[in-house]
Amino acid sequence: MKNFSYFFKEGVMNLFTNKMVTLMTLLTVIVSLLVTGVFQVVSSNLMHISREVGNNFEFNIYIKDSVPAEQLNAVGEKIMGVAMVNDVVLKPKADTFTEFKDKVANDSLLKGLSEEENPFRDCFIVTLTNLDQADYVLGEIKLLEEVDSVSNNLETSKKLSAIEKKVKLYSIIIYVLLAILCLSIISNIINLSIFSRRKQINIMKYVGATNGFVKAPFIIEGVLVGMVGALLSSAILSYLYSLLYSNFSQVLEGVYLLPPIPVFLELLVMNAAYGILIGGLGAAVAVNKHVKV
Amino acid sequence: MLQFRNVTKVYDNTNVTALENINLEIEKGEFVFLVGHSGAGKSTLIKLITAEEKATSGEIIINDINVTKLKSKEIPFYRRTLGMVFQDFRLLENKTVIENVAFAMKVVGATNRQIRRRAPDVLGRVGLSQKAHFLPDQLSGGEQQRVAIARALANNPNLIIADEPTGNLDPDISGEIMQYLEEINRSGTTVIVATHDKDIVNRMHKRVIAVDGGSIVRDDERGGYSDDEEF
Repeated sequence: MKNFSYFFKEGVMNLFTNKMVTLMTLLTVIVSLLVTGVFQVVSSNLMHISREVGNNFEFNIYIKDSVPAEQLNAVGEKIMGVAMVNDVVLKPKADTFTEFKDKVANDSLLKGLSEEENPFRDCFIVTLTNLDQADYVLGEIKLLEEVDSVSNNLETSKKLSAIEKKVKLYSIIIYVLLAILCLSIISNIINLSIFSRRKQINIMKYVGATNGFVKAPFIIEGVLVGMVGALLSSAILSYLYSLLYSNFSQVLEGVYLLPPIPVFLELLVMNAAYGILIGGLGAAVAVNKHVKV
Repeated sequence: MLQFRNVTKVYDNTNVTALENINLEIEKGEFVFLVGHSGAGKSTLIKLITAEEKATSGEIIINDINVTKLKSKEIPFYRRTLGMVFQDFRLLENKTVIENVAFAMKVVGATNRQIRRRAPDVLGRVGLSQKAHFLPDQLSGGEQQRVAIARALANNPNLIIADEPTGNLDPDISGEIMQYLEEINRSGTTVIVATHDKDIVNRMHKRVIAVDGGSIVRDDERGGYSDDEEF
């Protein structure tokens, strides 16, 4: 570690003595991070939206006619007590009846029916914290003695949660592929810069420098470029995202884009981690080819 | 201090036998010329000494270190016991004369204090104290080679290997470079010079080892370039 200040100084000096190469590497890092960053923002929003849609997905729980109106609140509490139930809203049969009558307006069939002859049942509208587990949760609810039946939209919910999972999986796969692609591009660019300094590396090796001693300044140089690239690309993306967000934030009824601040933070953390990784690793991979003298 | 025992080097990729069954002994404090035409095996011999290449068979012992058995991790530490001088000087263009010397010391872990004391001293030994803060391209070829010699001396090696050190220099400058090497030799450092330069070899009357076709064909205690050899 006593050499750290020397390595750091060399790394920084190299940045400035090879300005064109530094600029080229920096631009490549920025472009790479913009690509992965855009993808990251899009995929975290997609995940967020599919999660939101899932969380808003409603199941109807129909209650037996034999259950008196006074007990409905208690039944609601019971349903709420089932694991992974997010929210329970009572829809009394009187409301359903009125709605229905309004819809079909003057249908003669319903004209004669009074409140007492209401053909509908009391119903609870339930949303889940985890759509994935709908099968299990609805099964648990069905076990309650007051429950008559549950809505048969389970299949739709399964499709939705499958989409949510796929979005997540493909996001990760594409992100990793992009990351590997960028790493190889960066490594090649750094390789160019190191190639122009192979004489220096050669001399260092002849006077007895260890591989670590030769590599350290290059790695520091790569990490610095990665960090600067991460900051700049995060700033650019954050600016663009806040523009997007201020003009278009509501995707669907009740579903919004992720708010800018958490997106900025996530971008910064991911870009910084990734920028440092590709800068440092890219330099290490590239310099490795030249230290074997 | 330097021993080759039945050393053979065959290059893997081309299957060319560069050196065959070399036996050689150089004592501490000797000054040795290594002569031979291009492709004779001179360069390979030097590369084996600097551990740039590994012998196919046989043993090389230098300063009690078995060079043939060095792990790649140990090579840098071994090289610190050698001083290398090349035909093309190999100075860092973006560093001044004294920085070039300091760099060689920094690499082996010298402290700034040690560097401040030693670097001007070795520059003095090659007569370049006045030009310490010049960049290499502000110097003549002879001066650049003197910087390279100073750098080779910086870590106080007990063996200096010069590979065609006068190859790029005028005859009178070449003589000057050889004088510096001879002076270094006089202070006890072993010096091996690989060269084509007939005049120098003949003038200095040092031990001459001639290599041809991968074998040592001549080893004279106080030799010259023989007339029937066309190198």
